[in-house]
Amino acid sequence: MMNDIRMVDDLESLFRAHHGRLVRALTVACGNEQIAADAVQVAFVKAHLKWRSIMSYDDPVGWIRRVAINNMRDEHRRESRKQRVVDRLGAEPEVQVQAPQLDEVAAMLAGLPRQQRLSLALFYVDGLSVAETAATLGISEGAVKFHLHQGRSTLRGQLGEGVHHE
Amino acid sequence: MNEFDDSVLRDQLQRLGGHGPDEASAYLALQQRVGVAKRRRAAAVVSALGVTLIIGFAAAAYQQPSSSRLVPASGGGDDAVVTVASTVSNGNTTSSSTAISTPTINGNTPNGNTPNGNTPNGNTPNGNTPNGSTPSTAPQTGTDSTTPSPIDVPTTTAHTVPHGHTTTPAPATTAPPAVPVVTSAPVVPPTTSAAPTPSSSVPTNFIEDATVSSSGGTATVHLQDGVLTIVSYSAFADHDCVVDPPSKRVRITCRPTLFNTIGNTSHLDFSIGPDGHLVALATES
Repeated sequence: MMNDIRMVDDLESLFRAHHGRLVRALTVACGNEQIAADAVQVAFVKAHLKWRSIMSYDDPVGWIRRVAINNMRDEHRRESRKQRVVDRLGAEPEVQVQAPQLDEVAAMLAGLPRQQRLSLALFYVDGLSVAETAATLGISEGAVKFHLHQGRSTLRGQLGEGVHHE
Repeated sequence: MNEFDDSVLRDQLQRLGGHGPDEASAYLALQQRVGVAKRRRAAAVVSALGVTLIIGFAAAAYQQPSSSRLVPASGGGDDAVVTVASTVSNGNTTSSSTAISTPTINGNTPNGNTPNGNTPNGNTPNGNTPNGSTPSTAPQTGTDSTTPSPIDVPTTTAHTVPHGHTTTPAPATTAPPAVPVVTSAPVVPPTTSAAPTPSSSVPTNFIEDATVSSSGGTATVHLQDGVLTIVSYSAFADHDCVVDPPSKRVRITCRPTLFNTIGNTSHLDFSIGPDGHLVALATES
């Protein structure tokens, strides 16, 4: 996949090749498709503005993916601060607009630590390898394997036989 | 084959991720946001450039030479005689005349006048001549006569005014720009204690001091035997104190500056009147 990415030097082609998959992966990670789509789009805007330098990177999509994850984390922090302020003021919290697909798997994913969610999303949804996931998250491959193992064990235990290996 | 391959879990998570946004509409939205970001960045660059220019101009204006200078007027030439006189109280007067060959003298403070009979710069009242001083040739009316030290041309500090004259502080307004103006403007009475005593018959060795302030600064002059000399002056920034020997006038004028380029003002003008008395004029033009 890295070699394929290197061949892509046109941002539009890169956008059409990776945007949807990245949005889906971050939707799994954060549980909100709007936040995920916005974070990915902001990352592509930044890439567009700096494309002349980014296109010379070894992995431009990795840069975009990393920026999108950071945007998503920033948005999560903003929401957390906002929620703390609301709690401190004793006001009624705003009604959270949750993604409509918050079914049983989503509810179980929401209970996982954020790093496990990201590892599962990047590995299973975005299709990255363990090494690419580790590079994207800035952690070691062993840590990625640990998160994948823990996350899969948790989901398998809660979903029962449906998630077991066939 | 990866140890973490799990097709069931992959399908579950991919289903959870949904179908994703429409690529065409997402790309159009991306282009719109890119356009907004480019416009915002261009505005930021222009703003930064403007602020940089403003700061640069302000810094350049601030670093203009602000020290006042004593220069002979245009008619004076290099050999213009600028006389700095020091007058002591109780009628004792010391004076000196020195030809200044350079039109601009900076940095030295004038000899201080002492009201109790002490002469400045270590001059002793018994006629001792200090290093290199030029003896005065003007007749003296005081009981003691000494020759002062070589000229330290006054630059910024105003001195005490002998004979009980008081110095009126100059207004703190910024003076309009300037070019030395030959005074044809209406004459304003002096704002301070110029002490011309009306007299129809003026003695030849008439001595008179006056201090006048205006928006350009403060100057104290000394008139003796028809020779007008500067005792001291304190000019504001961007102002010059000009001696005009032919007309026996002293002017403090404002140099043109970046923020003061409209019109000219002659702020201070001393001259010897037709009756031989010192006339201090505050002239605005």
